[in-house]
Amino acid sequence: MADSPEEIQKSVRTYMKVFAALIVLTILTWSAAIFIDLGEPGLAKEDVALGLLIATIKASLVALVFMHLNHERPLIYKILVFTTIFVVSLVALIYLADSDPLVFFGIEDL
Amino acid sequence: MEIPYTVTARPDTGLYNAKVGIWLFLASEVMLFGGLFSGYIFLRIGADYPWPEGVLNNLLGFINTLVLIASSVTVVMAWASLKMRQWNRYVLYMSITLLCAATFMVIKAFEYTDKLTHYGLHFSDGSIVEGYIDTGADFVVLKDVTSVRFDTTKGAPNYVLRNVLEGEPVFLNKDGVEINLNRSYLRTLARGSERLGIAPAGSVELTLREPITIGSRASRLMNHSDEGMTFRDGTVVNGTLERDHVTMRVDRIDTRMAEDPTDNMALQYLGDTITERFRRHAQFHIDDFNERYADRGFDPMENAELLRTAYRLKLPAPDLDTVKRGRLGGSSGDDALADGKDKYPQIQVEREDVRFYSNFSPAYSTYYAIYFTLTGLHGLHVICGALVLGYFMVFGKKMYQRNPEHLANRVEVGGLFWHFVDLVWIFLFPVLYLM
Amino acid sequence: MAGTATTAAPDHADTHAGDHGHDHHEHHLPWWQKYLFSTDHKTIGIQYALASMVFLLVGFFLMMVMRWSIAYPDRALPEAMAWLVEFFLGDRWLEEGRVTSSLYNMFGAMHGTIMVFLGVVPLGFAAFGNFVMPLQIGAPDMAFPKLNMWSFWLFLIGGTIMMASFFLPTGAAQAGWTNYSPLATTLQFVDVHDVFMTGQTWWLIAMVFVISSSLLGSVNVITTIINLRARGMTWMRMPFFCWGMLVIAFLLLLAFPPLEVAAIMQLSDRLFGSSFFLPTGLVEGNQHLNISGGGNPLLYQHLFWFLGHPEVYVLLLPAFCIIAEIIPCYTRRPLWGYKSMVYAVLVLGFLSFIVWAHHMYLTGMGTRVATFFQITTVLISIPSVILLTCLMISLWGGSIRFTSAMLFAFAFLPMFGIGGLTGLPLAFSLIDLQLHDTYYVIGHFHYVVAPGILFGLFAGIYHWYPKITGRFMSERLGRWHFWPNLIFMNVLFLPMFWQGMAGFHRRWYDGGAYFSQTANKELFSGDHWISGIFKADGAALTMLDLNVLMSWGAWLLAIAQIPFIINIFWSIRHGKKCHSDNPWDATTLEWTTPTPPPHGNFLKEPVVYRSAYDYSVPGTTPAKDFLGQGEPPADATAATQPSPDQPAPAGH
Repeated sequence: MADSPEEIQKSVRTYMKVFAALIVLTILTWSAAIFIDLGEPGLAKEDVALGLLIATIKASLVALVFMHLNHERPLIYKILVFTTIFVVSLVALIYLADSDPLVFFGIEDL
Repeated sequence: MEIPYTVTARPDTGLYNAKVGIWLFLASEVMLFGGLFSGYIFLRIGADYPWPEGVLNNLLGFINTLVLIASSVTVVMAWASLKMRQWNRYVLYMSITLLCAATFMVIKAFEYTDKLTHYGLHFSDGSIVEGYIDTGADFVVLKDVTSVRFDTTKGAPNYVLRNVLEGEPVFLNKDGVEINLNRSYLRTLARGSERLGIAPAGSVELTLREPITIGSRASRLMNHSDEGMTFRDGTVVNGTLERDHVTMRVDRIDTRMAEDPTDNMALQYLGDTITERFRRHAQFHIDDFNERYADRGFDPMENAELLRTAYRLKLPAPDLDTVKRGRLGGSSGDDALADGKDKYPQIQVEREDVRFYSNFSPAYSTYYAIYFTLTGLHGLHVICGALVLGYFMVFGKKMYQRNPEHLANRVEVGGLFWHFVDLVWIFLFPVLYLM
Repeated sequence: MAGTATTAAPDHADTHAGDHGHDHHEHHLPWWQKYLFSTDHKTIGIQYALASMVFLLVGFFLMMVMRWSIAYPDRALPEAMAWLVEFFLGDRWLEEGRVTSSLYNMFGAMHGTIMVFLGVVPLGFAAFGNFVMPLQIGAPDMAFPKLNMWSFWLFLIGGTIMMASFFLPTGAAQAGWTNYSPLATTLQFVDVHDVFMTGQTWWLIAMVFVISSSLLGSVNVITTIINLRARGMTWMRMPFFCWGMLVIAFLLLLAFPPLEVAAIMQLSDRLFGSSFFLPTGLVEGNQHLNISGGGNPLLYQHLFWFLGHPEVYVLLLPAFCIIAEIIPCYTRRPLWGYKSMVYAVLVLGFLSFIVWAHHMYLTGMGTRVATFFQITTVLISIPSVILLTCLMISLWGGSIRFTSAMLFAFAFLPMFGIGGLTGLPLAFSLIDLQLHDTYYVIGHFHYVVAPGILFGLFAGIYHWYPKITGRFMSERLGRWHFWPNLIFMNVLFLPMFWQGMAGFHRRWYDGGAYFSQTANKELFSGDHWISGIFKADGAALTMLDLNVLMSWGAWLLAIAQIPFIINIFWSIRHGKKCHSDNPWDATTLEWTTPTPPPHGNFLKEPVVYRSAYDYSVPGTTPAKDFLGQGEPPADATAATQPSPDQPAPAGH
């Protein structure tokens, strides 16, 4: 990486800003868990979605800024895109396989 | 012989080797933790028991999250310092990073210890009590033991033979000759001996000159019958079972899995006073739920949150007490606890009323299994990452003097791994602690 | 001499500003550092090759004992085999000399494990990939030489643990190479004192080592291909061998971690008593297990096969890689459809991640999910066929040199064709209902692996042996190796399709005698002359008797390997000397190095000017019918050449 000292200095300011944002978001994570209750009482699909959304935002900040992914090479992006596709397939297809059971028509209890 | 592009980037890809390497490695780590998360989802959806919520200390989890995020910042600052050739700043930031790592692991150690010293006991009717079981409380005592039969290929069942509580253990073989039960004797038995009349790898029966009393961990016991106690590995010991119960100081009761959450073994063991309180508590929350959601038509008995609030009760302090001995049925007196030191009510549960019990370890439930596996594997990554970063800090001076850019690259690569570790925790915290 | 030029330049030249990673001068190292703990990719490649070939022999021996049990379940093992079994395992596993079902299960599980994880993958990917790939892309070594060494030793430690597990009192793992829970968890679990000292546990631990080795190796291979290609070696000039290695490495990199997760979870189930894969209420051996339950065995299967399917392409692709180098070289024609092959192998790699549940059609999955996997499975046959077809068309119009390597490569094509085509029916869940867990499946994958992949690997050994040792392998012994192999592989594996369709079950130690109705199905009546050969007193030849024929095929197949083993060792000293660095007149860069290649591989920095398969193209003559990748064009001026004294490689 051939960043010059000036570029690094500017990055440092960005790092600090992101750090502050992450602290705020972490507090938000915990507060949302305590105070926000969407859908039915208790943990509903919407609550899960909200929690994962906040976590994804935090993770994106770390990945894009701290891990320099916002100005990384296309090759790295390609590797990560395929990884994402595969890990999503793993999770989604396992879930799908479990939620789509074989049902025998005409037999009530299996 | 030199490998090119170790420090400078290759023009067409724009990357130096280690950068490519670490991103590839991180891709495989994404698959690793992704696999674990898919396991988590699968186990949670398919759980045949109420998935625990709120059993972890959220404050400690929150602090750990902040600690790791801070360490992420300091590690990137350490890299920036190296790029700007500020050695002392680099060491400072690295030290803070490592300090954060240590803090994280210390807090984790507290969390783990808390869980591993805490027990849950499932009664045979599905009700559950949680609390503390002292070591030694999980013990069976067999009196009047005069013979032991075991499979020689598995070695001597030392958990039985060396746990003699009373009496002089003098073993006799089938001709009544005193033997020395040591390893070479056992090897002879395993290989078989014509003289002793033992087929190779057979089972052997040893008698004792005088009856002894032995103790053993109950988890090794399978059942007892007329021929004696059979242990799980097939060892048979004759004798009578003297003590076979589990003593527990209860700090929580959970009746969601019992057929009748308001009348079950757990409540019976804990006595009338606690049962009354429990029922009032449960009814209060059900009524409150119905009131709050009257217009939305939610059924309290279908709502996991309400069931947890109503039927899972933390047991309070000293003035509530009960001691229950022996079989169920009837209430005991509301005996005050002997010395008041234990603030939790104590019960002695007959083993036949116990379906299963364990400390809160992976063995207890799939929730704890996936919790310990996820956080344990993550913790291992924290330790390894810290070791690598520590190495760069302690032994980096020479490389810094020879080729500072090379060290900066290595720290960048180590920092990328560290950020990944932080990323995983960013997901672990809400998923395990808050959901 | 160019060689001295390298050493003449000072090591820590400040002019480079320390741009490169440094390495020891090889000739200063003590023997154990030079040969045992080498960081040179060529030495490591040979280490992998030797270790994996030993493991292949062990796996082969296990199979021979299994085939005895299948053919003659009621007879005692022959003296020699029985002696070997008792020497290593003690006498608990043979019942009056007969193979017990437990022994059969143990050998079955370990045969699969050893062949797949300790045999074919290390030989195909680690050995060939390590030795050939850096040479073919013009690199001085792998990107991370020390990591490469660690990969080998992690592999060897894992392999040693696997072998050592045979000596445990419980014996080695017995739950199949797939190691499904709950059997794999509860076997050697309830009735042992110490769950740690069991074959099942050690299998899992060994797998963790082997998987870690693969992951590190993959990182190395991919980084090397991406970043260390020589000047002028663009992606589309890269030999297909390297494309294949790239895809294999990605498959290993991204598919192995879920299996590592499954292994860790199963270890947790065994050692910590968790119930990841154990359902509630599990009873084993008449005991209610003292576990929490709540787990799901299907989770293990999903995680296993998520790796399991890409794994079979990891097994296959090295053979394709090798054949793609061999066919052009020995037909003197370019590889037909190189571009299509590259795209096909990339698509194959991608699709292989989303087909895995075709191994799980019988687990009660519903129609939607089954349809998805059927579609992707059928789709994945397309790139496979493209690859095979391109290789076949590459033969057209060729002037074929039938060396031993080419014989094996030639035979690979129809043999792999049979293996691949017999896999197609299995893609459909309707058909799989009938054929799952039968000998049909065993026949299918063995055709792919044995006369398929192994032939490819043999071809590679014959082909690159002169570059490694400077001598040719004996062609005569090569033919004695080839023809019996071809014949007996077919004798052993072809009847498996018939048996499978008749319903013979997998993993049954008595070869299907249990399934007497179908087993006794007559193939030839008692008075047919064929029955007369195999049966006494006019009995009819039945499906069950096929077992005897196949087992003899297996034992004769073992003998057929002897010429090869002799050839490898004999030729080191007595093989015909190879007086050229490029005895086969091949185009790729590995043939431009000295023989054997020195540390750092190339004396001059290689520069690539053309594609990898310029055989018999315009510009060649009958005297020299190929253009090497590193050969400068005839009209090149001196100004465009790197100086002949320029040490290799420099940064650019």
